[in-house]
Amino acid sequence: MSDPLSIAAGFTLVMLVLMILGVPVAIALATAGIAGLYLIGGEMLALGQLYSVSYSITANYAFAVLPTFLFMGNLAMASGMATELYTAADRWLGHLRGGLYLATISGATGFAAISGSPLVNATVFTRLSLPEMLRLGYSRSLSGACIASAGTLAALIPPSIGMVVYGILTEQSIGKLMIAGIVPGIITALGYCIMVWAMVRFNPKLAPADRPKASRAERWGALGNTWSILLLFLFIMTGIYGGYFSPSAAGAAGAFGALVIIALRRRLTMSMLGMTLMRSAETTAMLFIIVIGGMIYSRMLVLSGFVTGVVDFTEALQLSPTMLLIILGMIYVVLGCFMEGLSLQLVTIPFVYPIIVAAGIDPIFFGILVIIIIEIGAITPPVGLNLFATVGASEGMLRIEDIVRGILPFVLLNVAILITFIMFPDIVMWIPNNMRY
Amino acid sequence: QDYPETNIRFGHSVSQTSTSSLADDWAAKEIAKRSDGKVTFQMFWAGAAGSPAELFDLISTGALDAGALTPSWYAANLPFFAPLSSAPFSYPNSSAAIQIGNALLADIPALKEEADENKLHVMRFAQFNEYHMLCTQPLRTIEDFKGRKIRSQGDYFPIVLNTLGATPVTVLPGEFYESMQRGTIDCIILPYDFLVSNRLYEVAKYASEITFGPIVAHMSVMNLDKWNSLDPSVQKLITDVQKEAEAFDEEVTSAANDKSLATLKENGVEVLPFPEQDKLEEMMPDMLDVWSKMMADKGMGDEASSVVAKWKELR
Amino acid sequence: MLRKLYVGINRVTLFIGGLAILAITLLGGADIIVTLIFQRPIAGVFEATQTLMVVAVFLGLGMVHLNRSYISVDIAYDAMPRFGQRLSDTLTLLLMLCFFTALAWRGWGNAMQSWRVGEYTSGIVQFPVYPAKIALAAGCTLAAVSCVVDLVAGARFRKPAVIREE
Ligand code: NA
Ligand code: NA
Repeated sequence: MSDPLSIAAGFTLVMLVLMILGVPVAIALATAGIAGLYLIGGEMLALGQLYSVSYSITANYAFAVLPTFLFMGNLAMASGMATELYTAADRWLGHLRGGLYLATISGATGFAAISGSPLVNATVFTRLSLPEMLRLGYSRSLSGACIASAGTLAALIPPSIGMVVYGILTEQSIGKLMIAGIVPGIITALGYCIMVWAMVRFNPKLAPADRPKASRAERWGALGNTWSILLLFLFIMTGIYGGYFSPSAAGAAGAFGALVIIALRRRLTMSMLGMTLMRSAETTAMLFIIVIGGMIYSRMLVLSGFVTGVVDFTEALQLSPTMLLIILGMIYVVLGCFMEGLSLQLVTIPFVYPIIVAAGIDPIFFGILVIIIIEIGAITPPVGLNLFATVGASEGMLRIEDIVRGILPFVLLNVAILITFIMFPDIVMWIPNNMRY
Repeated sequence: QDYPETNIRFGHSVSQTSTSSLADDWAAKEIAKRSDGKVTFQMFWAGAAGSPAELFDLISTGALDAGALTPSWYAANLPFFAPLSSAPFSYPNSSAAIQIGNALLADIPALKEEADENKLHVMRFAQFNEYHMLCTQPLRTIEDFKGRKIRSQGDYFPIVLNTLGATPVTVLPGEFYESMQRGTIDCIILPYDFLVSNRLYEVAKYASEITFGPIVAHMSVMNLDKWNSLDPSVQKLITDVQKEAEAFDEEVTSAANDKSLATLKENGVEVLPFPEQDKLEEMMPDMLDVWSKMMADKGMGDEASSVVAKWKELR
Repeated sequence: MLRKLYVGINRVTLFIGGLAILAITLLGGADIIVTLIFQRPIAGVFEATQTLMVVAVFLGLGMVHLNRSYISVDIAYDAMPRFGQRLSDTLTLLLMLCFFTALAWRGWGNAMQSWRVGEYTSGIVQFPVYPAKIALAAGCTLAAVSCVVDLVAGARFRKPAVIREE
């Protein structure tokens, strides 16, 4: 077996089998990649690519946003900023039936504006709202699904690590991508709210009876307490859009801003700093090892010639742009069930991108679709990073099965939104196409 | 002639449509054609087989068969080749840069030794258009450089910019556009064709005829073991086509310069003359002497002087 | 006792990784402030950040391994009989050992080469490359050693929890 298709297909199978056997995703990807490269070009190619990918991916200024955004999110959580945001949402929405679902979604939407990682978002809100929801008798499966899904908004609403990766892979303007993500992000958040509200209305068992409404003073007081997170958000946005720092420096700037705000509020302690740093470093290592595995696997697909083959094949089909997007969307959603989002992007974008460009599809628009698809992938079993993160952070309160039972409506809603955007691209592109500087 | 079947994986750091890729693309196709498809260059563009930071290691260790290396990016490993692709004000024009590269490689043993040590066979030097400049504000005189934030790269541009009183700023290539748009930098130094391919004319409207000279874009190299393993007939075919590719390269590179200049003007960019060019060049230290001094500090001064002597004689 | 030392080393390297993230943050912040005031960025922040990135990523690896923070699919694994799980654990550890050993081996070779030729990043300041390359090699060595320790001790790879945090 030395033709590109057999190598690529064979080792994709190997990767899936390893993953199903329980081998960590990163190692399964890397093993398939290295073994495939060995078959393609021998030991030198395999080991050479292994080292060279690992070093160049990490010694990379553009990727410094990842650890720094993680650090910022951890700081926001440890210092109580995230709690303040959640409390405000709760005071304003908590009295509605199922109000904590809405509070969680809106809180996560707000937090998404300063967090670039769905993983961080899901963790933060699992810690913040899950105990309260379960205590009050909210549905275990809907609560978990709600947190995991709302967390994905962090990828769509800027800043976004997923967009940075897409921007790097395709050399597209990251700023423009981020602007383009705002409206789809808000639409998705609203969609989640309406859907959950309707579900609770038709099935009252999903949420406890109404709670008394918070007083006017309580509501405005809680809103006032969110000033620090709003300030942080404004700082990052002004910084990026005002030219004070580049998008790739936004992570460091955000974490720095968070440090300053927390210090000014006299909440910065050495133990908090040490803990958040170590937690960020561990997550950084965990995420990068997946990225490295994904890149090695991707190089295998490229060097086998498989990628060129797929590009030629798809080009030969001569599909209309809409058909192309629908077919690609279907392929992606299926792949997203099995693959982690960042790796999925790293593996596919290098060869899907030329097809997209050749078909005359706007790369920014496609980037937004990719981010939405990756969000869907993050909440679909068996490999759904946000499902894992939510279960992991719940420390035993939730099992995977619980969330999986509640997740389907959220997946379907996202698919519906995706199809709507494909049919009406202007919803996404109106702002980025008309923005003035 | 009947050639043995040969496949060569070639990694390129830039896209297939970039000016400096055109001749590599042409050579690959021409070699396939002349060998009836027996000798194929499998081209991986835009870092698909390895990012620019990786290519040297990949080719030198044989992980990739061949590729386009810009030697100054690997200056520690290729100190003798490095100035070819980085020293400004060192060539009279783009074609001369190629002739100088070829002559140095042929006549100065240090270059050949350096290539051998790193397991590289140099197939061809590629052309690069002269560096000009694009700014968000008009730049007419040397005085106008004072305090400007200008994108800098490599070992020599920091010297150039500091001499002129400007501020060198590091910017990722993916962020050129936004950096100019948002004022993180005021000017960028690139050939006209790169100003166009990055669409920078959308965000900056003042180009300058000021020139920092051309450089060598890259050298197309093959792993030495791979090269030695090739059938002599294949080696000859590659050498012949690469020689012809030099002429092709000269033609397309100069055409790209003219076309891009026109594109800039069509898009409302004002191309300002720079009457103080001679004065500017007088202010600059001779970059070859700068290099020679750096090499002397590393204990390679003698060979470096012979490179400089030959280079100065040729330019 | 040995176990304590082993956990201790991994905690220390994780802490260094954390400090690298703090350094990236502080350098980035200082750069923005200095640029704002003096209209001139701090030279070398770009290059330093790249080195610190490698430190942050690879020195955290040991703890990821110790805590089993890797992401994996557990549905089939959880349904396996004990014997199957043991096999899966051993397979995982062996593959990981190969991965980290290969990377560490190449890593040390490259780090030494980088040191020998005095490799630096060319730019506004010349920044040595070898510290980053040593960080990569050291982190992978530690992870490889962890795999050997686990294999020798017959340790299970997996604990019940899928992911501990984040
Ligand atoms: Na976000
Ligand atoms: Na999934």
